[in-house]
Amino acid sequence: MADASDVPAERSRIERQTVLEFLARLSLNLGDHCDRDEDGAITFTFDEGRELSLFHVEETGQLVCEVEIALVEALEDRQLSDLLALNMAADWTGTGVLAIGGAGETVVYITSIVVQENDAQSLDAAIGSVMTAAGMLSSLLEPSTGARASADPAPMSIA
Amino acid sequence: MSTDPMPSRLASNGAVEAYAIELGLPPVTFDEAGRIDLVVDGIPLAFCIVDGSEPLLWIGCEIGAVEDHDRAANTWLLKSALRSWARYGGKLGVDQTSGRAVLHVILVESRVSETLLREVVPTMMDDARMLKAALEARRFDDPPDTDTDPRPTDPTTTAPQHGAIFG
Repeated sequence: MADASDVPAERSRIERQTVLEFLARLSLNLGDHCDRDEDGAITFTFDEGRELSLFHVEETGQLVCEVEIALVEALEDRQLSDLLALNMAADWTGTGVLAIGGAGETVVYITSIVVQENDAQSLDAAIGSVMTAAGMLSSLLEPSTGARASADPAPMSIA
Repeated sequence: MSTDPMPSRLASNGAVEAYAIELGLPPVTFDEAGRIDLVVDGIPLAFCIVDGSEPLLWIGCEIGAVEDHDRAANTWLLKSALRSWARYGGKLGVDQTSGRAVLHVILVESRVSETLLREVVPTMMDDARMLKAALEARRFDDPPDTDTDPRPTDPTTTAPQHGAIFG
């Protein structure tokens, strides 16, 4: 009988398997539109070229999603400020973080999915939510709308 | 005014009171709006109960004022948005009403404990000090390479669902 110290490892293994199966299925479904690197991370495009990357974190069994939102150089000053306001409005961006990606001057939306056992369906739904959030963020930055961060960010103030 | 504290405020109240004492601060308690305002080492630090289907405790550290058109500062803040406190669901943002950058984290109130505060708040405060100093000096080099992992690994964290935290 396994002692208590074995439980996290076993759980991690199950989660890992769930994630790998999910990534494999996603990769299969997306076919030529999906790239998979040697570490198992996959990247695919949606919404006319927007790129979503998925990385499995073995230590925690979590899946990290990154979606490119915009190039910094293409953003107006006010839009950069809007992104920071949106980052504070956690009510609709959930646990995701808006940040400039380390690899370049690209604003990315990064969030993670806690993988549950035998829960590939919720992974489908979660990634769909990430894509929806990315679409909303991108639409807010479209020049034609001139939108401020008006997605009802909670008016939090420390003053 | 009711003299009975809301049950949802009990967990945070005791934890924050104990934590404030540990910091060497005078006794504190939530006001009627469910809020405590402190200044620790020159950094404004606020605790605020957010009532909802599941009460939350919002903890915020003020970094400083940022103008909308200050591209360098805003870019740097976005670069700084991935840091160690992000694993607790913390975020760095700008309050558009006040124009002030705020580092904040939101915890499920019923799970708040002195132990959790001792883990989360010092991490936030350390970064808040660094960010505040850099913002004041306009030292916008790349943020230090700390733990940039955005994964929230603590199940006691969540995001608020709707509504204003501060009226």
